[in-house]
Amino acid sequence: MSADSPRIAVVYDRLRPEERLLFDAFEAAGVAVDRLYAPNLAFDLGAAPERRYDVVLERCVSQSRGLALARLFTAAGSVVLNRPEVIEACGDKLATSAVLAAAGVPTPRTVVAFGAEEALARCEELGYPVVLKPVVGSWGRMVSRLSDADAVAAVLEHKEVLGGPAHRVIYLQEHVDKPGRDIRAFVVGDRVVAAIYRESEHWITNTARGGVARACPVDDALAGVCLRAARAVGGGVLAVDLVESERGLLVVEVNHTMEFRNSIATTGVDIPGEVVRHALGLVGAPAAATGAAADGAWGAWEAPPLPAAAPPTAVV
Amino acid sequence: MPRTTVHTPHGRVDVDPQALELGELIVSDDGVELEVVSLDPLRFEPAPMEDEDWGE
Repeated sequence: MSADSPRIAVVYDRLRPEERLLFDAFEAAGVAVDRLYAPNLAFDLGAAPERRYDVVLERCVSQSRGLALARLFTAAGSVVLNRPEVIEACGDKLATSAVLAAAGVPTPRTVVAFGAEEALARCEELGYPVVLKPVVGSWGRMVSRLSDADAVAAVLEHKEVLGGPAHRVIYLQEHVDKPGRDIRAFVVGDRVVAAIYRESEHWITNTARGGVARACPVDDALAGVCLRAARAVGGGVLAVDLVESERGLLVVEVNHTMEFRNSIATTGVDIPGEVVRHALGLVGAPAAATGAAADGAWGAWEAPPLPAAAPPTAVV
Repeated sequence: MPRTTVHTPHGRVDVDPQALELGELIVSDDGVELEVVSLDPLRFEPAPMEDEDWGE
């Protein structure tokens, strides 16, 4: 490695297949990467960083740990994928919905309430079934499809008794009758590099919950919505989850530490290679052995022209 | 590199120490999911349960 080689680190707290694939992709690109195990890290904020990185890929499973590290590495002068602001926007469903609505990205109709009585009244407006989600949470956990007011009241009572800050915010969404599948699209920089259908008999289609992946073609409509969603949260390396509806594609959420182990063989796209090329492009490094053109530096967003924004669908 | 059997309070694991990475998960013969928390000396701890802010 030459003295001019970019200084790259991947910070993680649980070594999943994705992190291994990223390590392999950096190696294939001929770039050394420091593997930073988050539980072993400590930062003295009053001291100069022991080592400054050009790019840090934040890959923590723990969102709060990942956000803290993204802030620290950003403060130390590194470009972090993804930026702390992006993690904040994606890590909280309310924050995501707010920025998507402000950007006119089509989403399921969403209501946020702060008391049971108001939540029940809003459910009547949304119509049943209604979907109740924790504002912070993953892999479809604690997501409930509730068929009537009695079910909503029961779950809200549980939340009240359980207590905790997360249960003080009641995040409700219209139920979209999707065709036994949803779509996960992978955005790297200003491109949608791949997409999969996640098919399941169950209404929760996460592959972590047994959903089966199948390749989904990336057409202009899908790419346009995904890039608008990615831009709304601040861009970077993102997975956009969408459902097909009578109103067209609706963005359900945007994930900032995307898992892709089930999507590489399915789509035939070297997703970790795409991430590595993007990371190297951020510091102007060549795409090395991969041969693909590097993406532009941060701030040189060149998404294609997008259709006119639909009116916001969130109701607050 | 030959595989080594390591006895932990949570069961026995059969590993190649040179191939292990920090943060990797190994299941012991007692069925306990262990996380590699140190390579030198090699040390395993029960992997934390899923937390509220995990994953995507």
